[in-house]
Amino acid sequence: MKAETYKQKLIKEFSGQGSREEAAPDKKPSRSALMKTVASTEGPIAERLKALNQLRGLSFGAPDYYEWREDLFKILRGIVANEGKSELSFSALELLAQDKDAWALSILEQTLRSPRGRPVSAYDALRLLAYDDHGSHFDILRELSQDKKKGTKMRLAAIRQLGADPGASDMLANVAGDQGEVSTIRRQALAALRQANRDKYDALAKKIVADDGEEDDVRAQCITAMQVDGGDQAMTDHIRRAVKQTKSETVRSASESYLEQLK
Amino acid sequence: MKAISSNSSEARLEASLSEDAFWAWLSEPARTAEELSNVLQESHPVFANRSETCVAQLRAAGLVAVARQDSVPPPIWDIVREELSLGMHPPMVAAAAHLVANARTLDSDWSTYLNLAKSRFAGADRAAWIIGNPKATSHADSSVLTEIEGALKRVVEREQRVIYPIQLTTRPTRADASDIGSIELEDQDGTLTTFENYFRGRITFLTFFYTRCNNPLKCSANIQSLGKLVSILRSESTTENIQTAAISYDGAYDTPVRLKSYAQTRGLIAGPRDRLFRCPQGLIALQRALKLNVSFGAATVSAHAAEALVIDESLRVAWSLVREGWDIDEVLLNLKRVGH
Repeated sequence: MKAETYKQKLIKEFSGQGSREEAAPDKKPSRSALMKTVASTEGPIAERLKALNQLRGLSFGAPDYYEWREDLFKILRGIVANEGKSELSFSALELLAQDKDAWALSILEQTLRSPRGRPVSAYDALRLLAYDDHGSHFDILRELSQDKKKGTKMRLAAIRQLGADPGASDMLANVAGDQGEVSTIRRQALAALRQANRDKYDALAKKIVADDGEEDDVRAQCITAMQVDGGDQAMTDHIRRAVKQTKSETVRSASESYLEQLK
Repeated sequence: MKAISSNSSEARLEASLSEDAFWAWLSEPARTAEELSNVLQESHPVFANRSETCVAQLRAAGLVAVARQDSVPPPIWDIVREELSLGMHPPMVAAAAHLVANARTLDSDWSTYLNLAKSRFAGADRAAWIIGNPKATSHADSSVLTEIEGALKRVVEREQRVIYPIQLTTRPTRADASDIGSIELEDQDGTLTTFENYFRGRITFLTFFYTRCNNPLKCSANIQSLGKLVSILRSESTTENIQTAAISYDGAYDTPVRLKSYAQTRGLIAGPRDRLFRCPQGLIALQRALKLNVSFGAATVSAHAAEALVIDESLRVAWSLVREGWDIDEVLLNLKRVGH
């Protein structure tokens, strides 16, 4: 099928005028029917969610999406405001947050600061706020990232976003360099630091690569990144030594790969 | 968050002020147009550490408050013009149109700017909270196109009742930038210099940007236009004494690697006389000296005006263009004029 034909077929399908199977062209609900299903507070959540997902598909395929986007957003705000915590509220907030809807972003920030009785959990709010790197929630992210009581999942989500926050680079370097930290947290902090402040990352990565007592996974990640970033002669010497001495398959594999690309 | 009493002055507005208190301050009948004009500048301390959407929301509420005033100061018309020409934040564009619709004095030329805004949002209208705070209600009180259509209607109705003319956007100025000569700059190749070293002795077209700007009509288009200007300047023998510079607002994030990549992908060929810079020590001194309209959120810029300057050989700001996309021919003309 030619690309243009396929594109037209998809547009028809997503706008409710066509169908996935040429043999059964009738069963797709129209866009207005989908909107009605999503808005129906009496309907089963699973069906409404399915309809919303179909409408989300239209945001890519339908040429007139922007003309009815606000009608959909009005329905979504109503769901989030009135229907409490559900998978549907999460999806509604996600679509709104992706479009930087002012009301949705304010709800998410409020949820992060005070999660009780909100339409999504603090963790979900945290994830959805990742769509807004111009937000004001970075102070909370910094707190969450260092708070070991918050659990690895929450901390990872917070640290991941701090790659957009150069002001957090000292804190990220502390977390990434702390050998008492959970390995996944350290590795995520390294990745975020590499985004937020390359100079600080380079200095820490060199220290980690040179340290034979470092955690294998953390060390291997730094060596792998060095393949892209480039390592100086001292680093190359450390990595050559690591290939011979390490008992870790991960470190050996990363080191061999690094040395291979020098050839 | 602090609250403020009803008779507090503009001086009491600060970064820690709650949004509700800001809204209350705006709605006080004692507010003057000048106070509102000061508060609407991006560099006002009240916007520090707030999110981009929040700053847009607060400034939009400020524009709506101005509509209740007897007159509109020129700096506010500049903001209205910028938002209608280049704005992408629904509340700001809607509020700018709202002000045109409701201001007591008006210039008929606003239809051009209103139509520019209309062309950006036609078929893609956005909800806008311009009276109420979106934190308080999920129901938007207006939309961008509703406000633009309302303003267009009023402009046509008022026709030629011109009382206050739109200010020219290009302004000759002789502000002095010599006291910031020691500010350190790092270019796209990581080379360090100072403001004095780079700028003194040449005529420089200076503009500002940051790589994470969400508005494609501002920073991205600005650097693209700069790329075209640079190619013209370097192809003419009469412009040997003219150089260019683009300084990032977001120096902590905009490393030399990011600056270089941003220039390359927008067709700007950087060279010894055409450089992208960041201020490794921060932007504060430069912001104060050149009165840059920019505010910073928790991690990056939260609002900024479109700004370009011409700095002469003795580090004086000879000419400035505020709150509008710039025209290459106009800039070339002014650069050559300053050179003579």
